[in-house]
Amino acid sequence: MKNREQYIESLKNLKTQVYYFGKRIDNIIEHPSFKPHINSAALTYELANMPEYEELLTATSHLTGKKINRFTHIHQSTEDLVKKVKALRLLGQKTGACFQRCVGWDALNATYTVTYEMDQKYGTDYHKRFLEYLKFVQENDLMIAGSMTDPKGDRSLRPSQQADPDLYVHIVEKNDKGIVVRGAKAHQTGIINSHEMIVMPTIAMGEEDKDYAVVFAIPVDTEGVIHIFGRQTNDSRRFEEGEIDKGNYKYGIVGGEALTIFNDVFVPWERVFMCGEFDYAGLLVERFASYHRQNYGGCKTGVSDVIIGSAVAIAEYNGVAKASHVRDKIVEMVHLAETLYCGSIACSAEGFPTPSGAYFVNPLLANTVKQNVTRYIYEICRLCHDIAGGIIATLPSEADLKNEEIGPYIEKYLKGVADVSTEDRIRILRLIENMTGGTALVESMHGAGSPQAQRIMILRQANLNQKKKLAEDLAGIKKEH
Amino acid sequence: MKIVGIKYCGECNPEIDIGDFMKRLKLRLNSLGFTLTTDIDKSYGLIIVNGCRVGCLKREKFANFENIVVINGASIDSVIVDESKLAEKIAEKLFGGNC
Repeated sequence: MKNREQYIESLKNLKTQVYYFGKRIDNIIEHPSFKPHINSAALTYELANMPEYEELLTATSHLTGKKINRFTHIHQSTEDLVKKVKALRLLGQKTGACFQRCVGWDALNATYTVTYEMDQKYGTDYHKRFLEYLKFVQENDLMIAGSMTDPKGDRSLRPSQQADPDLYVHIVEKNDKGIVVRGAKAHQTGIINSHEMIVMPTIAMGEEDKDYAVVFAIPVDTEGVIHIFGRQTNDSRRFEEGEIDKGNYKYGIVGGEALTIFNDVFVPWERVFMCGEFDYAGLLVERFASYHRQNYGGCKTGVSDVIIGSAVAIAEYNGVAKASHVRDKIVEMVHLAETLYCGSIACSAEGFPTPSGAYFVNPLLANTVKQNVTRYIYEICRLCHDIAGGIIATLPSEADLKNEEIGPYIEKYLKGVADVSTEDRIRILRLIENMTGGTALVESMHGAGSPQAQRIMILRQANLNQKKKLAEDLAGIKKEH
Repeated sequence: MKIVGIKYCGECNPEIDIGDFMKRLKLRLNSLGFTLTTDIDKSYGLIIVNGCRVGCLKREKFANFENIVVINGASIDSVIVDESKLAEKIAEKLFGGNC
């Protein structure tokens, strides 16, 4: 297993093409825009090497019997699925942000299960190829980006019907050495500081979309791959002196997302895990999406623990901690967060083995969790804003606080209770501002799929006929079933 | 100095202050001539530290140890204990009247 330093060192060997603010960025490690995201991902390596956390953050490889970082593990039981949720909550608490590695982890598990089933039907050798790749990933403790979301263009049209055929990643050439792909993937979490990416289709495909039914893995610095790093709310504060105004200055917010372009990228056959088997694209999407939606009651609960903690702190700093309405709001925040956690634990405890032997979550419950995340995180943040007060939107800057002439005024007039410094009060308020607005909120809505995507899967698995029959039976309606 | 093994649950949502508890535990064990190790194969006895009452890490997983104390949040072997007394009580459990 890699440790924190080895992970960061390993990124230096990559020649990843990254663009940000109209410039090519050659050194991402020391760049203030990427550093927090690298710190956050690095914690998945650091904590895995600490005895206090190894039970959750390491596992035994079912392929080699070796101790591996859990983020490269294939779930072998419901216990593994539950530990996944607990590991994510732990890391959410420690970072207050996204630590990015779950996406690739879910891509590994989804691809593992689906390649096995494809081979059973078609006699292909995708699973065998994938096992070799998995061993390589586990052995080198690699960080994998899970690349699913295509730009999609006109959403009313199939991939093959788009005016521009590149709006979904597709195969443009096949030869005896491999395939050549073109297109793009949007919202690529952690890809800038990953080693590899697993590219998957984003929707179910028909026969006419055969060239779009493609799964493969490549290094993020493969020739022809370009990453354009996205902006976040208040991201330019990372270029400023000091740390207070950045809020979560060490780990940032969400994962650091990029638009990744594939300009006729060559993929060798040993790294191709689906190539035209369009009837398995939907299954892969369902597996990946359900694994990924399982996560949100883990990591978001961990992040919510920090938000709730910040609400408790600011209530104390403001001298209102004992007010009954404040306590009630905090209870409501805890209730919402733990409801999310319940869903993730439940969908894991009700997991089951797939034909490959790897365990899959209960997809109905996993989609329900994520649907709740699209609402409850907003409510948790709303309550936190309510408790914190309007000051989170009007605070003077750290530069003003440190200014010899006007700083004393800020010290004097923004003071709360006597035993808490003005600076500490401002620090908590900035953390709240950073963690509860803008990009951080949107990620809860659309990360792991937009709300409607969950509703489609909920409806598909809701077993409405059985529910109707229950009602008809109790109402005494006689039907020949 | 003799060694006592320690194994952690992973601490996803601890109910007790693990840092404070560990400080007290190390001090108490040191005063009795013991030190803690995570290399549990070489240890005299084992302390299983679960951060909360769920107690994910079970005693059964370590059946080869004779002398085990299980902490589930602020409880030892299912008996609720004042958090500040945890370290003291563990020492009593492990070493009986010798401490």
